[in-house]
Amino acid sequence: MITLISSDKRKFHVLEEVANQSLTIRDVIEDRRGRRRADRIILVTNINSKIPEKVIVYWLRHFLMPEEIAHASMSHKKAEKLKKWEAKFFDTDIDTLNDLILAADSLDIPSLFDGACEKVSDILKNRSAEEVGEISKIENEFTHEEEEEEIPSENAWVWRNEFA
Amino acid sequence: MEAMNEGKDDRDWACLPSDVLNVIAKYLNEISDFIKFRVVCHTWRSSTPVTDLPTQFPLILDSPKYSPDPNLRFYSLSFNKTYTIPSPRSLDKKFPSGPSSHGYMATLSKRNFRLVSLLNPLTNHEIYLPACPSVCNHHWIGSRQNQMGEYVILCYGRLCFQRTRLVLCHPGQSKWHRLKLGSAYKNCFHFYLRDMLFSVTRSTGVTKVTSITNGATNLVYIVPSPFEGYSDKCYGEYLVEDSLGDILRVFYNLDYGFDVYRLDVGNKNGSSPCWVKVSDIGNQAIFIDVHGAFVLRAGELSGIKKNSIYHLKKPRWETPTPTSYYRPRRIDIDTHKSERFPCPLKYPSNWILPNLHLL
Repeated sequence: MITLISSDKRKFHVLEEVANQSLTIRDVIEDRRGRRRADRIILVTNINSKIPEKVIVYWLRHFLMPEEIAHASMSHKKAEKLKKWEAKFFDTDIDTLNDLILAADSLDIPSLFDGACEKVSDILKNRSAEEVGEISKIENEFTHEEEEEEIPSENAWVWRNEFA
Repeated sequence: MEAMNEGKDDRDWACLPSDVLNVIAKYLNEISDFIKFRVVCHTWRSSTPVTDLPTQFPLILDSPKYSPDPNLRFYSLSFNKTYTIPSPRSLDKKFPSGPSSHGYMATLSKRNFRLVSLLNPLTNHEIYLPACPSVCNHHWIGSRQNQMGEYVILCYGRLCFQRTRLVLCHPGQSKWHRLKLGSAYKNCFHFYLRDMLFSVTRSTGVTKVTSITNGATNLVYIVPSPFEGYSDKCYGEYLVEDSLGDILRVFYNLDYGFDVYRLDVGNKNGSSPCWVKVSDIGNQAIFIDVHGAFVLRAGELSGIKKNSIYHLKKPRWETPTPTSYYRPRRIDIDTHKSERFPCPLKYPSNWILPNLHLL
């Protein structure tokens, strides 16, 4: 059993085999093997405080159905079930997804990272450039000159086909 | 105890690490989504170079040859979507005259057939080529990056096979280079693949493979026709290079299907080059249109199905119509099963693989 401590000082006790899905944590545990008990405590303060719970939920679901088995021998039905579960898991607001991506990136959990990125791209699909700007809360920072010179053909392409 | 990273808690989308933005953009397989992603802000733009455009399903071009509309119209099979793209000033005078390559189409001036250019219809980037030396109708047979990193373009007079001229041009050069080929190269279909010229004799189906280096030609080997009675049985064919570098030869057959052969170049123990019939081309698909053919890797994201032929060309024996275009179809090479796709375009003429980077 290892202990994760979040940025708001909450403790999460997780089976080592479960937490091993994070390659970063696996390496840390590997490094400290055979040392004192205190070394089984890992700070995850770099990720938003709401996120560890989500990550652990994800781990537990995937622990019950490891990736390798998922690909090799998992029945079609079970694969569908996992897909459905993931769809529900990632069906959240875009800020949470952002946090999940950053967490998956720093903890090195490839499947979570890819899943969250794919979901974000799904949200951005079929939107106008303005809507994408609103969702991401990024102001258009291209100057008029840049729009005229650098991306004129892309602009034409985007604006003309916006509502096609 | 040790912290794995300094604490940071920002939700600023512009501050997402570059590699994260890059992964998100990889899932944007619809090209206008990808372009819109790139115009959000500078960070997003620089994280997603145009060379990282996710694998695309080729778009179908509505032939501008017959359409009075100065805009170009494209149709995406995979997204069931039509795109209209304002064409550059010159395009109302031009039309595609050969297969697309790297997203570029060869275009000719309708007023002066000697004026040739390469155009990427998605970015409107156009490369003008020197005026063509021959007065015949030109047919562009290929452009690809050769080992020297240059692009080679070959043309020949299509209408008069007897007087075929083969010329090539490297962009940046001021002149076309005429290839000196003997009379044996008359009455041939030519394909330019793997830096070599594949010339198929129209009457016998025999293929001459010729290397071209620095404008000098050298006959490498001759491959016999894959079957007896070539002139009676061949209803049109294409040579393509697949993603492994093998040469494939695709024939129409009378059952509305295709036969595919792979070139076996032989070995040192005396076996000579020959065509071997195949029923499986693996995880790739061949796209065929009026002007030529190309091979793409199949994939779930792009929606390209494996071991398939997607085609737009009408087989030669069908009743001729003012335009020889056909509705898009997919044919499974192994089972010969075919699948038709609806297409709102009037004259679906070319497959164009969207490409945003400069040639």
